[in-house]
Amino acid sequence: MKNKIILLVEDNPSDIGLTQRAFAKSNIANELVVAEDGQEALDYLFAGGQFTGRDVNELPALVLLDLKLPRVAGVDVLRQIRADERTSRVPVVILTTSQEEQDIAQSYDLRANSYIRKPVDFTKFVEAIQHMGLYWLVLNEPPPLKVR
Amino acid sequence: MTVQKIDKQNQGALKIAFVYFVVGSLWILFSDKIAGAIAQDRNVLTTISTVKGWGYVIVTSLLLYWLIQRHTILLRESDEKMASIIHSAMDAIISVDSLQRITLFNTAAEKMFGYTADEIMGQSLDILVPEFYRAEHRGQIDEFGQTGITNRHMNGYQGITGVKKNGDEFPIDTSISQIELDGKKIFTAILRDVTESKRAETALRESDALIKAVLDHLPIGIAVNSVDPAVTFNYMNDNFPEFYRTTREKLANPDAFWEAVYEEPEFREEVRKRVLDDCAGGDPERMVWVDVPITRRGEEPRYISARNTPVPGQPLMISVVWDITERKQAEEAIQRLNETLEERIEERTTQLAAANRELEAFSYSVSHDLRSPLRGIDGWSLALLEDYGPILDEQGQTHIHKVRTEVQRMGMLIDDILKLSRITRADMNKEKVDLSGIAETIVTRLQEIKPEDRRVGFDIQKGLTATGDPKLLEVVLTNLLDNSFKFTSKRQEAHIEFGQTTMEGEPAFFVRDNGAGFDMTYATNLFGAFQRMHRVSEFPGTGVGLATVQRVINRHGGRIWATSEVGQGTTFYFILEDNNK
Repeated sequence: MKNKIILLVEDNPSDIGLTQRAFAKSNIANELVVAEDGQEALDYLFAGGQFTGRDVNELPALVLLDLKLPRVAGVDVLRQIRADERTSRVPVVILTTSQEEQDIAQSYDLRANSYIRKPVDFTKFVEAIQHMGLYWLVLNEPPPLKVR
Repeated sequence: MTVQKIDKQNQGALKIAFVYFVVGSLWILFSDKIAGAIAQDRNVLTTISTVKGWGYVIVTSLLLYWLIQRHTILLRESDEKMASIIHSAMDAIISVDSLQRITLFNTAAEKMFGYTADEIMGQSLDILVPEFYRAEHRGQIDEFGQTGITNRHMNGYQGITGVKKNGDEFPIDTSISQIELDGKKIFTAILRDVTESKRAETALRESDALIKAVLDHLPIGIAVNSVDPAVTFNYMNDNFPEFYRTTREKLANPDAFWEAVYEEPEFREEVRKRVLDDCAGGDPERMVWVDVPITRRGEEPRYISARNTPVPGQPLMISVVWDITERKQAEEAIQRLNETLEERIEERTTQLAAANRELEAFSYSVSHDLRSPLRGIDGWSLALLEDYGPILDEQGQTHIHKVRTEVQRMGMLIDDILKLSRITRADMNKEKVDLSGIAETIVTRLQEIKPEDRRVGFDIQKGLTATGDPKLLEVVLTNLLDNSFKFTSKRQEAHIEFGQTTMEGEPAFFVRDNGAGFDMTYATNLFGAFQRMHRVSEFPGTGVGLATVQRVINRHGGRIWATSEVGQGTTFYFILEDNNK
């Protein structure tokens, strides 16, 4: 079975690099697609903009979503993912620096599947990515695909 | 001169004539018979007749003399009696003839006017009358003469005055009578000097005026009235109708009070009923009515308070009323001020909330944006170490480790600042908090993380509670106990205590340890953020813990302080405002 895509929505190049590095160190072989702002993420998911023609039914196995993003904010991306029945079941993990209660609460209200705060310590970050990969990509039973 | 006396005089004259008539008739009847019996001779008879004639004349003359003299004596006695009555009278008696010339002036009149009867007899009455009044006075007497009324009290003529010989004028009270004798009018006046009674009257009037002035200048309204139950006024001062916003005239009719004072019928009946009920009871304690509004359409309302006091032994009340509008207005002003104050507080609260929201946004930004680069530095330092470690010497690798340590520290600092700011804006939910229970939980955690070779004795006083926010108070105890745990780390036998004692008469909680302590000289900024009393190499830390503790205590309206001695240990005391309530 072909390894499914992981969509990373993150605007900070350093964080992108570190995440990619963490994935590599964690031996996660899934393809990592990076969207550098909220709009790009939505375009990818709904085959709009530069991703016109992409098969919408090919959903990522996991969306890693930062909250603070240019153009469309993370919570709005999440809201639109959940509002569209094609994508409403996709596992979305919030991966962000914020530990504000209201951010956490709002994310869960919008049916985020998980909320992870990026630790400053890179070693711990790698650990977090490892656990997350193991959980979502191996242990977790993915949602059934909706076919229209 | 009275009518009676004139009759008596006439009687006297008739009596004389009658006696004369009887004697004369007897003489005529019997003298000739007697003479005829004595002599028959014509010549002798003629002689006898002549003698008889002379005798008659002599006898009757003597008789007349005797009768008239007797009568005159009687008359004189009567006159003298009259005169002595007149002259001994207390009141002045003055008679004048129709030309108003003085014909009688008694002793009292002499005393009153200072003239003797002799010098004034026959003079015009005018000299006893003030000059300005003479013509009018003369007219009054003439007019009286024409009425035919026998006597009249001169009360109708106010302020009659007389003039003394020395020119002094004085008030008199007089009555006048008239008689007609031989077609001539005689006016008699009886006069009394009323200087004294006038003076008493004036004194009374002045005293009344004084009392009135005093009452009218009182800052209260006073009235004397009956409540039976119709309110009828016997007296009221100027302020009484004034304070009730009516007039003296409107209150003149019995029971006009209610209508005149209370314009709104429903309220009028309410007040009337209450006041009459209170008065009917007769209990002075109940006859007090406060803060009663007196309204007039189109005008600002005024307010009064009133009290009734029964007059002992009489069906009367002394009603006192005072204007309390100013006090009422002041109260209203204060109330308005309070309302605007509330508005202002609300406004400020809104502003404060906005500031808080801004602060939250700032904290968010700090949390998110400052941490990201740190993670980058840490991550890429580690990448450097991992990817290029072999080509770095030991020194180079140490440098990278130091970079990472500093990054961790910075991360901790940022986290602590965020905690501090969260403490400041967290919602407070005050309730009864089991401080001993919280301390026990913390101690259990500390015992779990303590290295095996450390020996720490904990002494937590049981049953300590306080009113406050449980989460925030947990932050306080966590910080203080963690500190004690940290600063006793180099102690062989560490001892940490939490309890309650009395400081300056107030119950204060304390956390005491026998740790490193610090020099009180440098303790001025003990609770400032990032203030540290020890080197990081000795005891790690960011210097935010005590600042956080103090903020929590401040938010509870309490205070915190510490005593310490280097090498001996430290005690932190804190008092919460609502402690144990």
